[in-house]
Parts: sequence; C-alpha cells; structure tokens
Amino acid sequence: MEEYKGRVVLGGSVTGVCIVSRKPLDLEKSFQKSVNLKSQNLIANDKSDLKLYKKDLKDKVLVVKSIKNSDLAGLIFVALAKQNITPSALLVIDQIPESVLSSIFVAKNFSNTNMVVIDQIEEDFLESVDSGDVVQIEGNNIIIK
Amino acid sequence: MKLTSEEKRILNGERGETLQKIMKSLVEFGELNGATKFAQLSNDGYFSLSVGKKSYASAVEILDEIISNGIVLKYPFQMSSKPYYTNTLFEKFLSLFFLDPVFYSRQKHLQNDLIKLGLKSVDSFSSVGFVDKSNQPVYGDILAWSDKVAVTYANSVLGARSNQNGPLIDFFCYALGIVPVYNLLTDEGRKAGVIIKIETDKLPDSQLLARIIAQKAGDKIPFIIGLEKFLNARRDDKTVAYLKDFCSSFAINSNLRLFHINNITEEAKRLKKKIVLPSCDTVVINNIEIEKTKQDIEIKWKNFERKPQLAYIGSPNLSLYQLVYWANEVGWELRQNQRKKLKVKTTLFTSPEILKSFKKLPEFKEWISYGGKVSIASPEITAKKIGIFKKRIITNSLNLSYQTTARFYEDNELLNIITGKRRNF
Repeated sequence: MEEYKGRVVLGGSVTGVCIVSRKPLDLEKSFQKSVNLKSQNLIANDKSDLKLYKKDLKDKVLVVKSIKNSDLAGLIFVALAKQNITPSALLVIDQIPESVLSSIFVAKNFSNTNMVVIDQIEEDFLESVDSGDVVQIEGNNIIIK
Repeated sequence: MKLTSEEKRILNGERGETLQKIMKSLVEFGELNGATKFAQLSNDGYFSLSVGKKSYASAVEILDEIISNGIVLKYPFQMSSKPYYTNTLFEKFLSLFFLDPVFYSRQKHLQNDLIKLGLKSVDSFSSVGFVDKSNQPVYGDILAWSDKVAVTYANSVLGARSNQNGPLIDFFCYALGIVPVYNLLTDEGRKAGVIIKIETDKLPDSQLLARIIAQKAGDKIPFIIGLEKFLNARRDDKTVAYLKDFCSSFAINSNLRLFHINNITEEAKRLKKKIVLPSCDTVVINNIEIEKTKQDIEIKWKNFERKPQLAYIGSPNLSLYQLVYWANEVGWELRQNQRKKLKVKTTLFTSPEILKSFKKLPEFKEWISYGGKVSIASPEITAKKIGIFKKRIITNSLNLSYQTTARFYEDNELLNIITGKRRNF
C-alpha cells in the first residue's frame, strides 16, 4: 500500500474507484452538458481529455493534475452539488485556483455536498495511480490499495 | 479565525440561516488560506458573475436566496462585461431566438437580481470600468473583487488591496461587509520577489511586455524598473490606457494579481524599494527578447499573405482616450495617403458608458465618416462568431489573437494596414 499526503480542502473519509487524467480539468467543457441536461449522472464531455471523455464520474474518485483557471467555472461545482452528481472525491495534484476553490465552499454550505477535496498532493501520486485503482482517503492521507 | 462577537452570532445562526451559510463559507475559505481575522471592506465592488449561462442557474438561485432574505450589500458594485448586447435589430433577433433560450437562459434573471442587490446602474457592465477616475478605490482600500483584470488594476496601479475572490464569495463578503485577511491583504503578501529590468529603446507593446513579465516572474510578484522613463508618473490618460492593457494581459498570463512599476504604480511610488524582498533576482528584458516573443506568436491563418478583411481594436475595451487616439491617428494617416475611407473594415470596442461619452465628441463623427464602427459587444465573442465564416481578422490585442484566429500586429503596423499605407502582409 502506498500512502500520499495533500492539503485537505473538504475533509472526510472515502474509499472508491479512481478515474485518472493527467491533463488540466476544464470544468465547463467537461461538465456543462450534465448540468444543462439536469442529468442523473456526471458524464465528462471534454473531447480533448480522452481519459475522462464519456466516463461517468458520479461517486468516483476523480484524480486530475490541475484545474483550469477561469473566473466563473467554479460555479459548475455549485450546480453539480445541487444535482447531487459530484464525484465522491476530487484529488488535484496542483493547487486549485482561488476562484474555483471558493465555489467548492459555496457548494458545501449551500448544497450540502459530501465531496472530499484534496489538492497540493505529492507529485509521485499521479505517477503511481491509474484508472480502476481503489484508493482510501482519511484526513490528508491518500492510500492506494 | 478570530471572530468578533457579532461575527460569532452570525456563524451560530442568530442572524438567520442564509447569513450563517455565507459566514461559514467565508470562515472556511479564509481558514484554508491562512486568514486569522476579517477586515472591514472600505469601497465599492467589482464582480465577475455577469454571464447568465444556463449552467450557472444554481448560482443565480443563491442570489435569489440572498434577496428574498432582505440581505443588502454594504456597498454598490459594478460588473464585468455582459456576454452580448441587443442594440441592433440583428442582435435583438439573435438574442430572442438563439442566445437567450439556448446559451444565456438566466441572463435577464441575473441582471434583475444584480439591480436588486445594488448594481450601480443598468450600464455598469464593463471590462474597464475600473479606470474611471471618478469611480475608483484609493490607496489602502480593502476590497473583495473578483474580476481578475480589475483586481490586478486595483492592487497594482491604485494600491488598493484585494485577493481574487471567486464568484459568489465576492457577494458574500459585501453582504457582511468583511473579507478574510490573507495574501494580498497583508503587507508581506504584497512584496516583490523578482526585479524585472526593462532595457528597450522604446515603450514596448503593453500586452506583449506583460506576457513576457508574467512568464519571467513565475509565482513571484515583479518589481519593474525602466518603464518609468516611458510613462507619466502622474498617470495621465495615455499611461492609464497602457496600464489597463498591461493589467489585462498580465492577469490572463499569470496567476499573480499584483505587480509594481517603479515610480508609476501607487505602492511603488510611496514605498519605493521597501516593497522588494531582500536579495531577489534581477531579470533583464531587452529589444531582442521583445522581438523574439513577437516572432513566436502563432499565426492561425491558412495563407499568411492574404489580405485582412476585418480589424478589431479594443480587447480589453478601449478607454475614451484610446477611442479619440485611434480616430485622430486614422484621420491623419488617411489624409497623408489621400484616402477618405479605411482600407480594412475596422471596429473599435468599448463599454456602453464610454461610448456615450465618445458620441458627444467630434472624433466620433469623424471615425464613422472613415467607415469605422464602434461596438459595445465582447470582441472575443464577436471574433469567435465571425471566425465561423473564416474571415481574416487582424488586431492589436495579443489576448484576442490567443483566444481567436485574429492575427496580431502592433499599433503602428495595424494603423498602416487599415489606412492602406502598408500593402504587404
């Protein structure tokens, strides 16, 4: 078992199956369609990210290198939380941009999301983890099982 | 975070559930960023949520909740520019049958909410409203802005203090009149970590230079020396226009929201090198560097040598000074070349409020007489729409050239092309 650490944004305990992308996550391109269609699932729709494209990310552990910075894209999290279709955990290797980060707290307090969010994770994690792996998250510990 | 007794009461829900959720969001966000207290806001807002996309409906519902609970923002505010305007018959048609129902189904609802929450006026949507001197924060003001260019301008040029807050968190701060103190709200967080020395023989293109500086500075706030010899320390209209365009490019190309220019930006004028961390590196930018970066700009046209069909000037939106400048420069060049009309169809982009002022000046009529247009639409969205028809657009905006297929030229080159003086491309 390999163990990694990061900065806890929204804490909690989760064990789940990972879906991994090594590209920056474009929130609008990936999730806008699921929001607009009021979908029951979270189907990633960014054709430029084939690791995620067409995958259902609801209740999965989503692992990405970074999140693309945009003034408003963080609001997508507020919508996902409202529809209750967030991943169970979001693990980001880099620091989540401030404008996106704030929306995660809005989502938590206004839509009661239970999504666990950790960023600034040790770089090796992205090299060790792959889609289909099971990870366990406890506090700031991430364990690949 | 250390809270006052009133802040604790709000957090405990004694002022209602909505204010409790707002306070919880601010406390949690502040604590994650290392804030230990709140500061009182001291001036108006400048927010980024000006786009009523369908996917932002949940955000608009939160604004509804704030309004329905009778919560009033402590200061009035302006917004970033709207995604589209409906001034012409075509725009109205487009809005009614396409934009409103398909893309921006919450736009009208959002605008109504913003008015109820304290939007300064129905025209207070602009990408450059922060350069209006009658309407600006001052040195030391505490803000919670969210428009990244406005935040960069307020911090850097004016010496006010704001982090780049996310959408909704900005409204939350103004609903409570407080903001978590961290990073750019602290003295330490505003200190420069790298000196950038400009050694060019003329004032470099603002957006080009800002891009290079953003790349060189990385995550360290730059203290720029050598630009002061080209700019006016009292920040006249020409300098303000330059700084506005510089801020736009800097904010797009960097995650930093602050730079200092020796003897030009407010904090650098007042504190001089006290705002530079000891023993930081110096990076030199010279003519060769500028030219190399310019040569590296991608040209997205299939055939480089074909003539341009359209010219777009004004991303970010032009100030009144810049509108008059372009009208005068074009008029002078046309007269030199014994022409009456522009060679390339040229549009100047500005904000609704600045256009109102421009229309009162003789230069507006002159510009129209040359065949020029003025638009308050977003140049990016307009260029993307036009791009569908594979039109060859030229621009003096590096930002526009990155976001669309528009081809970049510096001001003088662009002027020569649109007035017919230059014929090879």
